[in-house]
Amino acid sequence: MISMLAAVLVLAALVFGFAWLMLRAERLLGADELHNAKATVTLINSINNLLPQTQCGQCGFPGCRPYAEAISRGENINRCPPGGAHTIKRIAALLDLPVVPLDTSHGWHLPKRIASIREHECIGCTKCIQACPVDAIVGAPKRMHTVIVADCTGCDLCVDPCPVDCIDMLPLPIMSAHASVTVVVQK
Amino acid sequence: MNNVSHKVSSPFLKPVYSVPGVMATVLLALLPAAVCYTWFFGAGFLINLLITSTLGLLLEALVMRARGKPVFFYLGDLSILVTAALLSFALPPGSPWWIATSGIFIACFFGKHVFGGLGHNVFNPAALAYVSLLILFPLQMTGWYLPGSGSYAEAPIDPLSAYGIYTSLQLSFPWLRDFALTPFPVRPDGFATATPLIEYKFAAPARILMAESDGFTLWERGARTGWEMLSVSFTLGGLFLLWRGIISWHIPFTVVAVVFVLSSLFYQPGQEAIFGSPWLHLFSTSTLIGAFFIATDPASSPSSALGKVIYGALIGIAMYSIRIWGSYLDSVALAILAVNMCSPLIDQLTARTPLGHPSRFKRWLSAWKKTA
Amino acid sequence: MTHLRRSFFITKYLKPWVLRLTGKAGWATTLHALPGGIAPASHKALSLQQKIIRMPSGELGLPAQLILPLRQHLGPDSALVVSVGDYVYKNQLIAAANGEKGVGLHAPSSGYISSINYALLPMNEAHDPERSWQQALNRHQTAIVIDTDGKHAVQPGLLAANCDWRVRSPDELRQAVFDAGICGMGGAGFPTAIKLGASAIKTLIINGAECEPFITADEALMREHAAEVIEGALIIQRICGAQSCVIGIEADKYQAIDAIQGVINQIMSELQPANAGQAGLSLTLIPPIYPSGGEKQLIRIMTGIQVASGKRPVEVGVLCHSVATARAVYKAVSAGEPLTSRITTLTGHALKTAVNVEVMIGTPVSHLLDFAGVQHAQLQRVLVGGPLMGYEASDLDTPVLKTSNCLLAGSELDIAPAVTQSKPHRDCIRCDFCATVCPVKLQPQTLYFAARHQHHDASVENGLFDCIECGACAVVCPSHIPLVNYYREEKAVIRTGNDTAQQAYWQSLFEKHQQRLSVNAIDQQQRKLDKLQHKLEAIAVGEPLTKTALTKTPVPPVVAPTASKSTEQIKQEIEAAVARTRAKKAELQKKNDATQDADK
Repeated sequence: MISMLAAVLVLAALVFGFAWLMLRAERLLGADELHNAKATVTLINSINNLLPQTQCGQCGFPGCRPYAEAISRGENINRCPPGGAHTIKRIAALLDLPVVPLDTSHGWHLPKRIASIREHECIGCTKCIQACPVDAIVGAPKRMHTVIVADCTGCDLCVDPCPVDCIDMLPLPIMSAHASVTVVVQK
Repeated sequence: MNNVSHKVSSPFLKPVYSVPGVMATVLLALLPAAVCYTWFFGAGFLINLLITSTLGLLLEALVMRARGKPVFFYLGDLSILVTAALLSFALPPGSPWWIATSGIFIACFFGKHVFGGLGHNVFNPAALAYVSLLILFPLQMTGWYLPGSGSYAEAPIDPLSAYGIYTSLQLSFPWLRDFALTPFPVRPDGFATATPLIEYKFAAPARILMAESDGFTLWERGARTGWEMLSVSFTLGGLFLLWRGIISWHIPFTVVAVVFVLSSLFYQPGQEAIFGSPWLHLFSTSTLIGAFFIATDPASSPSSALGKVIYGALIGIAMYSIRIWGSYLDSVALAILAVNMCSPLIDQLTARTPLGHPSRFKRWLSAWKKTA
Repeated sequence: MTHLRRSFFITKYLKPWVLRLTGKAGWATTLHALPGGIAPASHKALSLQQKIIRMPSGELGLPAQLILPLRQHLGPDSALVVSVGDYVYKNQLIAAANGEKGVGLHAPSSGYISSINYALLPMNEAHDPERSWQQALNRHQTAIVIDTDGKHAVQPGLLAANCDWRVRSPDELRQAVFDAGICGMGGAGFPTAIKLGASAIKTLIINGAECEPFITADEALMREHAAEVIEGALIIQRICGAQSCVIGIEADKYQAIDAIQGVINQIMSELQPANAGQAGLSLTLIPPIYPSGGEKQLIRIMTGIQVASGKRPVEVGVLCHSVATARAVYKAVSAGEPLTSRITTLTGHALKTAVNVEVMIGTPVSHLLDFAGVQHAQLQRVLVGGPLMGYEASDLDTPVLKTSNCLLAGSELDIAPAVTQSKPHRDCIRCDFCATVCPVKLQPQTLYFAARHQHHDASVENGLFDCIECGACAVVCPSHIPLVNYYREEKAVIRTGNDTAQQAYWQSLFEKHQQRLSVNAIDQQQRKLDKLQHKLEAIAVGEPLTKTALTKTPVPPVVAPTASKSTEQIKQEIEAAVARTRAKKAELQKKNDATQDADK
């Protein structure tokens, strides 16, 4: 009985002793600060990966990464309308925060749309090109501009600067269930 | 965290079952066995149950606190109480207190939370704890104080008398023996024995069983009666669970059927000491608690019906094989642990085919044709 | 607790078996067991105590406004043919079918069009192409608003020729169905005319199962208008050329069964005895199990055919229509009436009177709730559809659509209480209850893990897209996991292609954009610096600072010299500007380097 207790105690002492030593060693080697800085960058990256990357700025920050940085500093997680409830849930799971409904003062969660320039109306002012966060609009001054559909995130940012209102946000064609299954399997 | 925001989409119907409800039903199903166990083997069981339950709740709370989860929400699922109860059934009543203590510790940490908590465990926590204890403390774990038998008769552990309860307490907490009103009557190791099968297995004199099988009455406290009545009460509990829809028939039925068939095949009258009769295999051992309560643990068993049948059959075969040809003392928990490891694979191989998909056979056939 | 399971066993297996032995009519045919299913308390008696109340009547008046979204069906939005301020008559076309796959929309009552840009609030977060009427309400979608004048006037001289359908050709009949703007009224809203165009149909199934709790619209319809339903079924049979027409009704709808059986017997007796066998009209009773009323589920029960994943039932020669659609077809063909009203159940314990009403399409939910006397103290929420497949009407101006078969004002007795705060669910304990109730034989728990961890391939392999979202798994889940929510989200993620590859691509585009901007900013400072240096040199040489030279150099205004400043002053100012610009450039450079380092 006593010998058993002694064995348990000795083993426990060894375990905790070594754990404490390792902790001290880490501190002494000064890895702490670097570790923290790296951890913050990793955290920002992982939050950023959860955001929809539309770079739409509806959250009030100039892009998804800036918003991810703000979240890591304690900003509310419900300011991303393109991500919707789904993104909020995933960020909440990552940061272990309670799930909150979307703050609709920043916009509603709507299905993805794509910008489309009515090309015969375009005057070639390049204002939309400057506004596009992902360089998805091509064109030259006084020449017609157009949208690269594959690159467009549907952020809406080009609509306001256009002086002749020739940009429409069009809904994507809805794939049938069967078609989308094939797409996924092929990936 | 499993946080969900407003439940805005269907279905809106109220849920029918709840985890605490399921666990409470299992506890209810264990009640007849608990009464039976106490009646035949003394208050030691209740002491073990008390230790495992209290410590289990405490440990669970600590772990949940350490994992940063809401403590009372997770304690409320009652799963640790089920583990504690099943473990108490596996422990010899009258084993020292630290057996139960280390048992629930192993079950809670290594059986459950190492894998991520309820629902994520690969092994049944109670079975894992029991097998670990068997390996760690073989002496204490095989010391069953058989009431009313042999030289033990002078110290009946009657759960209804103060004397019997005090004796049980003395067995569990050895320091109490110093405060004995009368001299402590038993020398523990001398009277140690295990389940009847172990008696057979190690060719120990099967005299207790032989003597009692001549004419035993149901409620008389005796080793054989005790074991058989316990098995019957486990069966009752199991049938209750089946009726309440908590477990499906597949696993218990297959385990019992396979053990019955195997033991009938190998049994020859007159060779009880080697193979044992089917009756003995089913009712004088822990086969039935294993079949109804431990093998059916949802987290560590496969989910499809076919998978359950395969899983049950494997458990039955492993149980019989370890018991007859293996060198371990107990086969039920070991067999279940071994087959628990196979259950993810079984799950994968026996996944159900959704309606409208090609059947499993067709898929195999097309895969075969592709390779050939 | 297990009431659900035991009664389920009895209704699913025991009762059909006993009834088949006793030879009761309707049970004679062999049924094929549907895997899974649940038998929740039906609460159907609630709304069946009264007869159907028609909308423009003394009891139930017309609403002041009718709101008609342009998309109430599966397919392209209907195209507007009216404009604001127009007066429309009842049954007048207000939005035409957009191509062959479209569905037209007709005015349910007469009045002026007050708006065609009515925006409905987004209603349901999860959007799902298979249930496009939900999606229709997601968007700020165009709806026509008619201010009713109460006259309920039909356009003069627009009486349809009422000729016998038996003498008209199938194509003519199908055209009549198309013109009436009929879409499936059971829930999915698939255009009926397209379905009727399918060839090689052997069996026509008329779906009177209505398995969801609370909903009695179809049952009431069969009780009171059995003849119209059967007539509609015969018209559909004629259009699609099916050899047999089977009407499937859940066995606990006794009065509806009697009514339908009576009509069938009458039709059979009218036929010549020689032709009686050819008519192929029969009634089949099916066990009252949820979700036996699903299209593929009903086909499986009644014919034993498993419709392959991703295929439509018409491809195996079976056509399935609900009784409500059959009646709409009858009205369209025999009286030329377009689909402008439907029978909807008003039910729930939060209502004073639960009743079936025949309402105009486009009636706001609030109008009907006022009629039924909603008790706000008990009201948890208003559901459009049943408690298992319906969706929540968060906005009570939501109109009744062509697919809305029920309005459930749920009290605490009926449905799970509305949770205002986020509430955690327990972990999955792999109890397998969900798998035993799944009518598609999926493994809901495997799907749950795949969906939750965004394993898209695993989700699809495990049949995510075969899930009919019936909700049976979520109802029996002891951990109270909102399984269907997880599946819907996963479906939406897979469908919109909102996956990590696309996101990573956008992210890289954004990073390149940012990098370009920062390099541009540095370049700009460099150019500024160059110009300032140039100017300094010019001063050193002693060139006069002409006005033209100044206007060409876009230097900051502080540098702009005035006549009062001496050359020395100007020089000093330029030097200060050079220092500022250098500092700014260095700062930008440093920032750029830092971000590049961080990226590395």
